Amino acid sequence: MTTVAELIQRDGLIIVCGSGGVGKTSISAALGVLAATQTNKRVLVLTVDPAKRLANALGLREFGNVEVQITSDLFKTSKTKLRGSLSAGMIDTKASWDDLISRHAPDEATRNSVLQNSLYKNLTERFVHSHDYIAIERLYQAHSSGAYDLIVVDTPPSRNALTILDAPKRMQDFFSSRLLKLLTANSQWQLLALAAKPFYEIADRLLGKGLLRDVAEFFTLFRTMEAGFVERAKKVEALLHDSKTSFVIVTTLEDAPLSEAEFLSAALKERKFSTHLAIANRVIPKELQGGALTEQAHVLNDARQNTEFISELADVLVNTDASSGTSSDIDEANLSKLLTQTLETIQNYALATTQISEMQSTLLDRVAGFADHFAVAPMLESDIADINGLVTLGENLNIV
Amino acid sequence: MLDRQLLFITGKGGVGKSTVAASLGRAAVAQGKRVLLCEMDAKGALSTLLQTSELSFTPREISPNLSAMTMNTQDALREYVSIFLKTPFVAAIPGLAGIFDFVADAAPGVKEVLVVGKLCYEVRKGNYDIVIVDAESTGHIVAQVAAPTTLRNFVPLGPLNEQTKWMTAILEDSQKTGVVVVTTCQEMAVNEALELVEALQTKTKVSAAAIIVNRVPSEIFTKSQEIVFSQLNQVAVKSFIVKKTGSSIDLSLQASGLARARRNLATHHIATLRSGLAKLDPIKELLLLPDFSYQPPDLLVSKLSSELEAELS
Repeated sequence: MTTVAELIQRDGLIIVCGSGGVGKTSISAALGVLAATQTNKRVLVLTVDPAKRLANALGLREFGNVEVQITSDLFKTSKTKLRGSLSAGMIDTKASWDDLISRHAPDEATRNSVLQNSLYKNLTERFVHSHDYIAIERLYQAHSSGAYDLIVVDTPPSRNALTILDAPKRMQDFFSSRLLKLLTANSQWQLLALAAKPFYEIADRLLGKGLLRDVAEFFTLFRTMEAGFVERAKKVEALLHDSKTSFVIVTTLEDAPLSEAEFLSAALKERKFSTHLAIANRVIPKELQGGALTEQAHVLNDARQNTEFISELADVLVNTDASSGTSSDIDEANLSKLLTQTLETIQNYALATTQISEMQSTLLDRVAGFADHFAVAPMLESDIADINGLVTLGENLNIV
Repeated sequence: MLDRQLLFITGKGGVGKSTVAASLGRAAVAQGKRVLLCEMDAKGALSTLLQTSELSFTPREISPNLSAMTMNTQDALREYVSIFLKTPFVAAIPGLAGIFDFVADAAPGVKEVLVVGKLCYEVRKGNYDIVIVDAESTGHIVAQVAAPTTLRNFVPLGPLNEQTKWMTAILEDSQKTGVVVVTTCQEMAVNEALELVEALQTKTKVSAAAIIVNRVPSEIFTKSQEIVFSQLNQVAVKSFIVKKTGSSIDLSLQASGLARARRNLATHHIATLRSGLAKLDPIKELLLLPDFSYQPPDLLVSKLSSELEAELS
């Protein structure tokens, strides 16, 4: 386990995972920005499906596999400047698969047959969880290009973040599976008919004649690429297990995402990946935690019931507001009533915030239960829309 | 929405699909319906929410009129083969189930048809008034509800093709079947919800029954309170308060200000959702559910279902 400060000092990969909707993409981007402003590293942030405003914040305009270097222009209004370099990229699954097939196909004819096969998309999707495999594959490509010192990758919105980590292994298993061999054996049809005659009959009855043949044909083509795929998958797997690869689990302090985070942490340990850091996102800001806010709520409670205070305050409002002429439109009796109500609302939200913060602190104990070290990111007033937002979020993460 | 016989509850991961599905189930029971809740993945979220033991493929009545099951492709295949093809199940022959699984995986729509077929079968059997499905996230639902049609185009002949016809008749009847899209008031969840509604309309004939916005923070200040709130934030007013009460109320202003900002942000995203939906075919129902994030999990379903009962009555 490490702190954020230590994490961004290391070269290698940072894989950010967690349940959907917890702010993985923003956190990934903020870690990337922090690394590029605090160190002189060449940093890449890879993301699958960023929110539009976040993509804009990173200077990404169009969808595609090209990595874009973020110019220092984007930091013009920011107090913090780039020390290293920062690039951002998206992962385009379809384009990446086509690339992969083109690279591994033994010849032009095979390549075209695969790309044009009507089963291609469906099959790759089903058998090797193409989204997950591609994300890892792209990560490997970026890493082995040598163009970056540190790569932060935001895992795809998969129901279970583990499928991405199991993807290389699954790819290898797929090629070595008995079923694939059976389907693509030269004497496939005799063999199948002999060993699996009842199945074959049922399959034909169920699926219609000829479908099985199409499937076998596709896999026969696909198998010609076996060596390339398997070798690559092994390298990718080795990279994931490399000591330079860090895993970060992001969660909000709510029951469901937290349960998922706990599950994820246990599963990572089981796979011998080490979780380096947990990040609790959308935590009530520090100054609003604790007794001071509760005391203010009590002050408000007394104040709003003190009619003398209210009427004096109403006068102050009318006077200070002479220029904008808002509450001066309201007659005095109504203003006092409105003031009392508003103060009560403020009191209620002060108390509600205290309660949420207490609940969050209990849940934070659960984060501490699976992570020796965690960072906390505050609940923000708005979505992150520019680089300054990412700089601020990164700085917040960096506070020990 | 609850007058239909088959409802798929879907949305981006993390928006609270299972919670909404369970709550809709309870709300339907409260309306006097016999309900079957079906969980599509074996994650177990539904059984936790309903505070019952692990669910299985065979529906189990967990409280009066509320039954629940979990979907399993293998079991669906077994049942399908024995009911519709009148053939003893292939698993009896060692190794064949695996091969079958492999090929069923390959052909577009086969697995989905088995799953959707099971749900339609429960509708057709009529043991329940409504089948509510805690479905997979947005990425998969279109493929699922369109599966019978996809498969029919892919395999033009054969018994499976025949079977898809009655399924389609149920799925494409907007009186019978609907998709409920759940979202939160976050940018990405709203985008996904809009994309899904559009995909349902362009790629399938299955109707979107309703959009449910979950975890909507409540309004903090009324319009006139807003004015007072902004005045209370002025320096002169603040120092008057300190002078009179001996204490600053800055932190309270900040806390309610944060809640107010979160509410405004949510309102903004809901407005985007509304205007996006207005560009598509009009959706009859848009429900907003309050934010119960910080409620104890065991109270979540009962709170949300009372909310839904009130909204739907």
